[in-house]
Parts: sequence; C-alpha cells; structure tokens
Amino acid sequence: MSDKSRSNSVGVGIFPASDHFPLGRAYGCINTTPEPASAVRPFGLTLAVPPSTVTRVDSADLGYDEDAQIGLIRDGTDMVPLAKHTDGQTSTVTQGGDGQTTNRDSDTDHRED
Amino acid sequence: MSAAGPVLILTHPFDPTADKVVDELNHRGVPLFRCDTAEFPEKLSVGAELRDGHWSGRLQTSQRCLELNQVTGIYYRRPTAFEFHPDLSEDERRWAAIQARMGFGGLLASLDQWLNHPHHIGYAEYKPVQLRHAVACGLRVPRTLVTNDPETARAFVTAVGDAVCKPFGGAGVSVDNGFRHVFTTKVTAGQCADPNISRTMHIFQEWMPKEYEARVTVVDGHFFTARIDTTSEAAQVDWRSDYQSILYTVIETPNLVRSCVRALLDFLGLRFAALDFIVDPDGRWWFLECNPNGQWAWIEEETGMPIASALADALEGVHNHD
Repeated sequence: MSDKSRSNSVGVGIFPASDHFPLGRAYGCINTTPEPASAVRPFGLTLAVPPSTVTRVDSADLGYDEDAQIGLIRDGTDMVPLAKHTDGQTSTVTQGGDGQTTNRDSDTDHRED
Repeated sequence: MSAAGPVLILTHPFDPTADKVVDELNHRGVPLFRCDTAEFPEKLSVGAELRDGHWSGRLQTSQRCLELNQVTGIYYRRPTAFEFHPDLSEDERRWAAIQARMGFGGLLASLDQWLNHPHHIGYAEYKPVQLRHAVACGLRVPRTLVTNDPETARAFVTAVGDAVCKPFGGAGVSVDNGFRHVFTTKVTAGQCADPNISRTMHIFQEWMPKEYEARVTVVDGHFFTARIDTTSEAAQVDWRSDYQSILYTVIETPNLVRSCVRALLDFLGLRFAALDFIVDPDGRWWFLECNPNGQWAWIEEETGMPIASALADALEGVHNHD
C-alpha cells in the first residue's frame, strides 16, 4: 500500500479499535509522532520498554507478486519473497514528505500478538 | 490443479505469515483469492444476490474473481480498514464506512468456512472472556485481577506476593528515539500506589514459578506445541521481550491439557488458536492466554512443525484430527 492510499483510510487505525470490520482488530497505521508523556500516563504504559531487535522495513522496498499473491522485498537488486527474507519480526515504516519517519503499522509484526 | 475450491485470504499485502499459507496452497495447486479489505470499495467490486437462503455472487479485482458459493475456506489474518475515494468529505467517509462494514462486512460475516470467523476472534481476544472460560474448561489459571483502582491493585499484589502487570492488547507508544512496547512486567505493591492506574483498565496476575513455558498452536484439532526455555532475565518474565534468548523444543501436549484446550476452542468457536502456558516445577500447566489470531510462522521456522500445511489442509477442507 502506498503512503497515499494509507492517508485515505478512515481515520488513523488506533489499535485495538474494532469498528472497521466485523470485530477483529483493525490493523493499520498509527500516528507515530512522538509526544511527551503526560502527567496522567496510564500506569501500564509507563512500563513500556524498547522491543528486542526489530528489523525496520522501508515500505519503498516492498512489492507484491500478483500472480503468486505473496509479498516481495528488495534484496540488493532483486525482489525476493518476503516470507523467506524476514525473520518474522518486522516493523514497517514509511517516510513522510518532510523526511520524518511516520506511519508505523499498528501491529508491528512481532512474532507474537 | 487441485480439485479443492478457492480459498479466500483476507490480509494486507505484506504479511509474511499469510505468505507461508499462500505458498503452500500454490504448491498444492489450490486456487486462491487474496485481498485486503482496504481494497474495498475502490479496487474491489462486490455483488451478491440472496438465492435459496444463500448469498450467491462474487468478489472481483482487476486481477481475479472469486465466486462466493465455491469457497472452501476463508482465512482471516490482518485485513486493514476500508479505503474510500479521496474526495469524500469526512462525514461522507464516516457514512460510507458504516455501509461498508455492515454491508460488505456483513456479507462476509454470513459466509461459512471461516478460520477464524472475525466475530469469534473479536470475542475470544478479550482476556477476561478467555480466562473465565479457560477455568470453566478445566484449565489452571493464575490468580488474576482486572481493575482501574489503585487500592484494589495494591491489595491484590500484596495478597499474592509476586505479581505481574500485563497489557490487554496493543503495542506501546512512540518516543523521541523510537518505540516502546509494553510487555508483562513484575510489579510491587508499592508501585500500585500510582494514581495513574485509574486512567484505564489494568490486568494484574500472580507470578508463577516457571520450569519452562509452552506455545501451543492448534489447527482444526491438530496440536503443535513448542517448549520455550529462555536464557535472559527479561525473557524469563516475558519471552516476547527477547526472542534472541529463546530455545525451542517440540514437545507433546499432556492429554488432559489437550482435552481442556479442545473444549475451550469449541466454546469460543475457534478452529485456530495460539495459546501460551507456564509449566511450573511440578509439571503443572497454567493457562496464560489464547491468541485467536496469533502469530505462528516463527514457531514453524524454529521447530519445523508443519503449521502452514495444517492451515492449508483446514482451508482446503481436509479433515484429519489428532
């Protein structure tokens, strides 16, 4: 999905919203603009820590094989199957127009959710 | 080419987990139609008529077409929000979204052969729901409190001694130098004096001593269980926090746990689930959570267990139970 198509989605997907499709968790972009912690940050959120190694994937390096119906990722000059390339734990980020990194996916493809 | 009917896969295009199932189905020659609900309505055309009590019609993209009455399996993975014409106003988009959810979503919800039905996923994802029914199905569950009251939290943590706080769901928060994720974290009664427990719901649970942990993946009654041993302090509390320190071993699921899990999944209407257990030093299995749409690909990669094949069997309609 291109940045443009993401910007046309209904609101910015804020997990675990369940209104976009019959229940189930909406998956999509979240606003990743860092904000300072408020004085009333929920206790649970104060326990957040940096995740273990996550491979950042630039969405510009992603492609799609329409015939096989699988994702592709750039590996050097080649586009290779995404499933064979990733270790399963990826975080897809897109570059905003001002060069800032924006639009992290709401379900960073941790191996577990 | 397989004689099986087409399989519908609902997920976004960059889902390596779904790719493994797609690969397996392609290898078997099973026709499949993969799309993201984000393609509706601008890139995905839908038309269906009610005939003899069944919706008969098709989904169509520029690449392929799916006849709904031929589908043998529907795999719900990570579909994303509908994307509407960019010129719609905000109000128009809100209205269109409701029609899309109730109409297109409703059409899909009326179909059979789901793995899993998104309504069942939605219900089963609630931790209070799954914990309650896990007990009813005979599974051991650590003492658990859900609250937004600091005093109630403090009293509970004091009573159980060692306790953890864990998220109900979601990821975390962005900070200046990256992203922070919320994992299961040990907490003290002193920490529960924090008034900001009242800002939302929290879940606290008795900390269980662990011999090891188990990740149980179930597909249509087939059990794929990996023992998880960890080698770091962080992973000891929550193995998701340090995948690099995990050792995986394929193990058998005790018969009693199997039957309890089967009962739980039957009740929740799930054909697939990824369940987490603690196994204590006395060999007792303690249920932590059921992920009705959980990740499994990395377990297959680490252990070689044929989960993608089992999912393909399930979606094709091949029934071989343990």
